[in-house]
Amino acid sequence: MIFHLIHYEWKRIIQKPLLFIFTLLFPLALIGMIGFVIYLSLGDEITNINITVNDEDQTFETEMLISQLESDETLQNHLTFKRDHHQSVESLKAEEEQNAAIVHIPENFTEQLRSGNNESIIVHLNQQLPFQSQLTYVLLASGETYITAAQSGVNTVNHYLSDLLASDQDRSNWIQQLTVHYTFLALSRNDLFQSTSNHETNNLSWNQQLYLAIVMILLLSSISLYAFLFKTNELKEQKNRLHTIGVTDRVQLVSKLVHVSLVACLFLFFYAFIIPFAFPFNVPIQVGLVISWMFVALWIAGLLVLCEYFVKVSAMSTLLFGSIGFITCLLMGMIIPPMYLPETLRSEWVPFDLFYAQFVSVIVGESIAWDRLGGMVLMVVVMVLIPFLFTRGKSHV
Amino acid sequence: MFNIIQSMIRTKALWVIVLLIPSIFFLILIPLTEETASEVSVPIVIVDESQQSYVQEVFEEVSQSEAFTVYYEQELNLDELARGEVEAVFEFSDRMQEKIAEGDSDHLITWHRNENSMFDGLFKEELASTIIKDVVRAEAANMVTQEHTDATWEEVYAHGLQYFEPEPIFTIDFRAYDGQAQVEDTNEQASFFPLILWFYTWLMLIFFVNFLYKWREIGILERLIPISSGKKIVVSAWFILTSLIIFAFLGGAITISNSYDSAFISWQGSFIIFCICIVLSLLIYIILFNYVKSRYLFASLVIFYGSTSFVMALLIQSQLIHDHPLYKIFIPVWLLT
Repeated sequence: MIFHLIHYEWKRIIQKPLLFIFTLLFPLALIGMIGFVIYLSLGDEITNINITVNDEDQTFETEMLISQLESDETLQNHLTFKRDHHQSVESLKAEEEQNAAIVHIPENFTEQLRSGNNESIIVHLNQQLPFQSQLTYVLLASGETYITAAQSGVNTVNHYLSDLLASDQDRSNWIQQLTVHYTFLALSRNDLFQSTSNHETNNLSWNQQLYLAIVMILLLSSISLYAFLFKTNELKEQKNRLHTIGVTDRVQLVSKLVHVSLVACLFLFFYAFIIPFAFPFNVPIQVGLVISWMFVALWIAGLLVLCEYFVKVSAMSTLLFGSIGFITCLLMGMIIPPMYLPETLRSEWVPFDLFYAQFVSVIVGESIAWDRLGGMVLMVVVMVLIPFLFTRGKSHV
Repeated sequence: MFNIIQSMIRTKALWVIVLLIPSIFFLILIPLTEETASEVSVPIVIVDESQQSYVQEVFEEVSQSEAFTVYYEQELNLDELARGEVEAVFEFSDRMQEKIAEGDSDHLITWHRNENSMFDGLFKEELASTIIKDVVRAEAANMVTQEHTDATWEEVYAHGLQYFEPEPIFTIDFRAYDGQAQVEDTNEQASFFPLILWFYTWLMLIFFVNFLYKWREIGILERLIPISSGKKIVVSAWFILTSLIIFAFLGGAITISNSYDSAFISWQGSFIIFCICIVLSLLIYIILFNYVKSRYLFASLVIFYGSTSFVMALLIQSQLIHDHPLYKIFIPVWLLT
């Protein structure tokens, strides 16, 4: 009987092939579109961000300041500074459309800085290039602290020792030397650290994590779409008719579970193994990965059947399934790595991170962790058992 | 005839969708996600085997950062790093303060990381900017005390601090402009609430139109055709009732959102444009209902359009892509401020 019911469900799918393809491809197309649009709008421009400097002060210090920003290690490879001191900021804004930002140094800036007054330089960020200007913001903001550090050194020494020098000429040369000295001191901050890298690692690279997250979100959304569009929740009349020919609730439940699991596996294998071909995800495809994804599919199918068992309106059960699915995937670490989650969410008694740990050992260690596999089997079984306990095995009639 | 409409109101699921789910969203989900989102952080360990008070100070300063959870430990233990439980371990050398004072600042800290560590570089920057402050001040103090005997080392060292507090001497004032020489306020956090509200309404409408499809399927609408303009009356009655419920829902949602003190759901932008968007969405549904006979095709179409435009609007709002006149075909894009 179970076989017949599953056969019937597949017949329903085959009757609406376009709808089925829609549920399979639409989430993929949407994610692809997001990626494509972001890629288009960023393009290869990320590597080179243009910044125009409008320096009204034009002193040695401001020139040093620009080169401080220019020579910072974190910025170096991304920013190109262009000097244009003659046009006004407003005309620069109108003319230079490819500019991510305009740095405007006001007149008397150096004098104010030297006397310890807090005068800001103004950075105008171009909202037409949102990503570039955001990056410029992050990079320049980190420059703030180092320049302050360098200037504090210069100012302190100047404060105590400037009286020792007689002529103004000497003093300005001396300040220039100080500025160079303290700038290099502040910029050499990376020398504070000695870095050692551990190669035996137990976390995924961002690329592998992205793979997990994308496949998981695709699976969740396509299963939600499938449940909503194909209305896997049977009608009451249909259920009664099945009862009259002796098909118990339990048989219906099992057949539904098997069917949804098959659909989930189909979706999942499509996503999990097609995507690495199209995009360079650093994920080795092997038996362990297939088995791990299969358990995820079973778990998701169990969740859907559970939601539909308790909530009969399909719109609501789909919504419930979508939300619970997303939250548990988050707890599992399938979307962001579990170590970034707050400690309150990393609970011990529901071992959600079993799945994540299994993927880590499959992807990084390239071997199946059998103890975790046992835990996964247990979780799937528990998920299936809950509705199973509520259904009657005997016929009503 | 109005029994038909009554049957709509009697549907329990309708009230769950209009009332229960949004209240769960407001009462539980928003506080929970806001709390969780603010608690998502990168775990970092600071190790100081010689228990220096200087390191304690540095630790207190860097642990104020919200993006990182910093743990202070007295013994080096790289197991957590290997297990992937922390992102990086920063091991401080002994006599930190003395070394800084002597101007010997190379390799003061050993930075243990994984090859897959992602965000620890940012923490390194933070730590570096905290320590470099003292390195520069110490260097200045050394320079001054060599030449000048009146001031003590400590005095000069303390003097340097005034350039950092209360505000750093060098600051950058960031301002945004819109390409065409127009200055705007920056740092204004974008609100996604209007977009979410539109998207939820859009999905809710699928449920409402489902009634029309059900009536069409069981032949109610066909049977009404002989009565003069009977079909029109039912569809208009449906339209009015749906609009009433939707607008009551939106009114309630906006009122509640305004009472929240939270940037995430604060309301920005124009109510009139929002209302126009909602009415337009309703019209799209009615027109589609007239031309699309299959319920499945209808659902696929509206889900396709709804999610695509929601995602596009999200991307524009989060400034990942720039607005383009062509994107106006997506209704929620109109809602962006």
